Amino acid sequence: MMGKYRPLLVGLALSIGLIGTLDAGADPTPKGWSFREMGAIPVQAGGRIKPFDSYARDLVLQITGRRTFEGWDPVELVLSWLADPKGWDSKQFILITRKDVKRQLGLDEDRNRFSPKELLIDSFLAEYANSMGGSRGGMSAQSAPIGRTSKPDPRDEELKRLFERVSVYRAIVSGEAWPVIPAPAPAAWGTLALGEHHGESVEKALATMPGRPVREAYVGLFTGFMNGAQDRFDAGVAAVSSAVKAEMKGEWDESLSKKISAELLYNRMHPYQLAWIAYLIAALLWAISIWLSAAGVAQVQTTAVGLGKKVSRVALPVTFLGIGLHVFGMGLRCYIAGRPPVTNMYESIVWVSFGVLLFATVLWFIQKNQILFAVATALSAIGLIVSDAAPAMIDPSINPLVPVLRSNYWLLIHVLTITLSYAAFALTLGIGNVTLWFFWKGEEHTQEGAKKIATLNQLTYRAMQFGVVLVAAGTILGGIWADYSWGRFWGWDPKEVWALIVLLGYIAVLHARYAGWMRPFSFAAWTVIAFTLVMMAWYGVNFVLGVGLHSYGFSTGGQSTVAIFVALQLAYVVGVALKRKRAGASRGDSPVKKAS
Amino acid sequence: MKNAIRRLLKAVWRVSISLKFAVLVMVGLTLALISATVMESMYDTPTAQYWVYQTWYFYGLLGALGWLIFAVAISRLPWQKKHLPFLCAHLGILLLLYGSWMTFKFGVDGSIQVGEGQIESAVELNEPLLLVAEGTAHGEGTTRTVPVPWIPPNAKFDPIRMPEYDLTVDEFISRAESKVKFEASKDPVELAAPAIRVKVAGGPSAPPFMRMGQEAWLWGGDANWNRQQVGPSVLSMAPGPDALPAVGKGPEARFRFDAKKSRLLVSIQTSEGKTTEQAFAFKDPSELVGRAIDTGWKFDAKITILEWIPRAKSDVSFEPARIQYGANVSPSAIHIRAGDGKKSGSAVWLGLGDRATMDIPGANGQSRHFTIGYFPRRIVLPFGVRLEKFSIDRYQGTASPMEFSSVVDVEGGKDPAVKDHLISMNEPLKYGGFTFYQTSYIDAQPRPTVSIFSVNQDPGRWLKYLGSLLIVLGSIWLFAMRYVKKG
Repeated sequence: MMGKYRPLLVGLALSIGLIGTLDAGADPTPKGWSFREMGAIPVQAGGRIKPFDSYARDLVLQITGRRTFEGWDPVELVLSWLADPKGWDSKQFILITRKDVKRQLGLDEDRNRFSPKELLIDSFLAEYANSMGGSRGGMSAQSAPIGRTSKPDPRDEELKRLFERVSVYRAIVSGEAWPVIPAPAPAAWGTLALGEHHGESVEKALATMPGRPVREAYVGLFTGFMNGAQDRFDAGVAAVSSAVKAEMKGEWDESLSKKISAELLYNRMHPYQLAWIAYLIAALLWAISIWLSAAGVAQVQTTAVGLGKKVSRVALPVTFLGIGLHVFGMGLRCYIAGRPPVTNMYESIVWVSFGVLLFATVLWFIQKNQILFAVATALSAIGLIVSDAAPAMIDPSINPLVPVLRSNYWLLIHVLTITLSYAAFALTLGIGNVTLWFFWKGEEHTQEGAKKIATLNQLTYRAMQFGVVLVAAGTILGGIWADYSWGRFWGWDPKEVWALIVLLGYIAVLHARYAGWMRPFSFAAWTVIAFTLVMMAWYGVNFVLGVGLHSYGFSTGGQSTVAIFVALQLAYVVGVALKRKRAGASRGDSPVKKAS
Repeated sequence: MKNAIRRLLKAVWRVSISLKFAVLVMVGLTLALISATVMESMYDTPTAQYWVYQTWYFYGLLGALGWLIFAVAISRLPWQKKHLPFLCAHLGILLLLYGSWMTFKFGVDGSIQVGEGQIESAVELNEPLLLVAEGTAHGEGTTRTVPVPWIPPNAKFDPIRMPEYDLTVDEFISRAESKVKFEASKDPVELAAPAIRVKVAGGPSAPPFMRMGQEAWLWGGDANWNRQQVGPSVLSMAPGPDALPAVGKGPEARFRFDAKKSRLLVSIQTSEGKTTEQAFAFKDPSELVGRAIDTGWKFDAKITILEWIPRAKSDVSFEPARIQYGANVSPSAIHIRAGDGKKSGSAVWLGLGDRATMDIPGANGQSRHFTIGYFPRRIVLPFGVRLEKFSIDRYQGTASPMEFSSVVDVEGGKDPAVKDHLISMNEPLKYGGFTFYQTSYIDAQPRPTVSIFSVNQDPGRWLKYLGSLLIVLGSIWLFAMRYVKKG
């Protein structure tokens, strides 16, 4: 890929003779136009036809590691990369995450983004690219000792991703990364690059190439963009749009048109972001409401009184507004992708965040306790923020599925069930943490506090039962699916095994409570600790272990963040336990006394 | 004494139904499972299988789990109506464990590979076997197969002895790479052919990597070694006195050995189509070592003789592969010796899929003749599967497969024949007690035509399904009952 750098395939800008209009080296700045219409132009990428807007977002995310870069509209950013490569040459926007890779390339270790000039001219990258071209296993393969595994080294992986970033950027500039000229499916769409035209003049080469109307329309669009002529640009966009649709012939139909509009809406509206904002506000309101009615947690019926009641009256609709936005986002995504939204980490976090609220709502009908919504909205907000915060690690783009997953029926029943169990366990984690907070405050010794704790324990217990049934059913359904499509019910695959460990862990907690081994405090503490197993099954198998048949969900990154989360949780549990023990000692009774 | 046994049994029973025992088993199982997944991540699946999942202690833990679930259910005798959900869930777990054991013990899990238009009935299982056939001079003999257990690198291999043949499998390499050596043959009846090691290098005008040159072994004894591509040129070595035919019009050097006149001959063809012949007579082969042959190819390329063995035998051995763990590792290899393995020709290496013959001098001066092979075990189905057509759809504009499927016929079985049945991902075919799943294919251009199915027979299936159902229903019932009772 990189090793075979020819002097660039004739860049589009160059070939149509516009290079003269460029201000070499000037800092590119956003024009402030609307790129909505441009974003709606269909392109073929990632195995499907999608709006240019989605494609531009994928490119910007891949290259910069950010959803949006310095306030640029992703569509305009990609256009600007093509139009003004000189201007972007010394701008720092290409992501490198690992320090060892930066060190290896002789780059500043404290920065995360680098300019094309730094990477291609000043660093050792080009040399590595050459040496990697020939060998299969990356650079450390030759010097590796006998006995290593075939698992790629994370440093090699990051270097490979860096090559991809750089070559994608160069392909944008050269026109190769513009799959915009329709071809009948399943063929690949043509790109704007002219390729090698064997000594023919550019005009002659252009004339014989397929999709000439689209090409010419794009030339108009780029000319308008480069010259800063908004009317010409808009006219170019309209011309491209109709030329592409004409070229697509029968493949451009009502349903594709609707899907493209839906995807554009999904991209621009970003419903999950609106949802987490609503959830955060709701969580705050619920907390205020509970705080205002101090006895709120203990009682079974709607408890808020006075001002608290008024606040809770606002909190409920805000919560449901959030749920509405959340469901709307998932619905749109289902419609765009044509499948249930649970096929990668991003989608599963979004789904689990929804599941938490689903359980809270179900339990609300059993026991109208405000703490349910307070905890659930906070958890969902955290979930959605996490899914939004690290797009480079948790890829939000809609990608094609491997053949075995292309069964909506099984995908729906197995994956939705198993992930719903994570949601139930997340709710137990949330309530468990609140319960521990009451222990921290020493409320167990007041009659009212003990009642509060008992109520929370009961809620945790209920949610855990949901979780256990769902994780058991989900794991078994996974076994049945595996049996049906591969011919084996159980194969000790790491994902299966960790689902089993989760099940064993929670069954142990339930049995221990049933046998009277666990009093309210240990139950809350163990509930919180047990969630570590869910983290491992959900995140750890795919991001840390990275082996097994559930390979469609593998990725890397985030280890330290997750480790910190787990460590904080454990520290909290230990902290509460220690404080309680000390308080108990001064009181003269042992809080860890066994029941019965 | 009787009393003592009774007391012991009672104690065992008390322990069996105690919660402490249950916790011990669950914790033990959990720790074993965690370590297995970590091991699988650090090494690979077979390694984790060997050290955890396929061990006596792991089966012991599963057995203990089954026992304690059984014991706890029995301890609640006499059962009442309220025990039903609890019994239901516990019985479900027992059935699931029992069904899994049935699958493990009596199930078949293999794969079958069929090309379009072909019919196949041999199912390959992932169980390597050593096959030994002894043939006497009269052509009669005995055959025996011995399973060769796979062991991970660094685990101790217990030699497999076959006293009736005086053969021993004394070495096992889990992931092996073959290494071929050519040596002068002293035995006049042995298969031998000329072998030469040469280096092709460009002169001072050549680009640096061509100046460095490239080396190659040529051996007339088999088709894998008699012709090699070295840079842009093709070199060959004939087994007999006549040169191998030229393969193309490019630069080519064809060696042959004239044993009668004791000389090495080479025909050199240039890209211009000119062919010249040179001859190198020798008394001792070492005389030719270091000889540079002018070729007339581009960049003044010369062929230098580095080693020359007029009668060479190939000696294949195996050594551990560089990559020892992971998804794409090489298969295993075994070393077999006859007697103490010290006599010439009485020891041999076999990679998985190889066969060899051995002639061992017997006790009373008679020679024993063995054919040995190291293959995955195969079972032959009582019917054949014919692949009519394999098709694959890819995501538009990409090489990633979206769906693949096979149209097959099943013929020759007891059940009525199946015609034009579509097997696709998530849509298997059931026939004659076996199930065929579309799992893979061999990728090829312009389109793949070889389909791979996994084939299985699972007598424990219905038990596992029934168990699963009971577990889920039982636990829902259990929780619902408690809710109704308390709520």
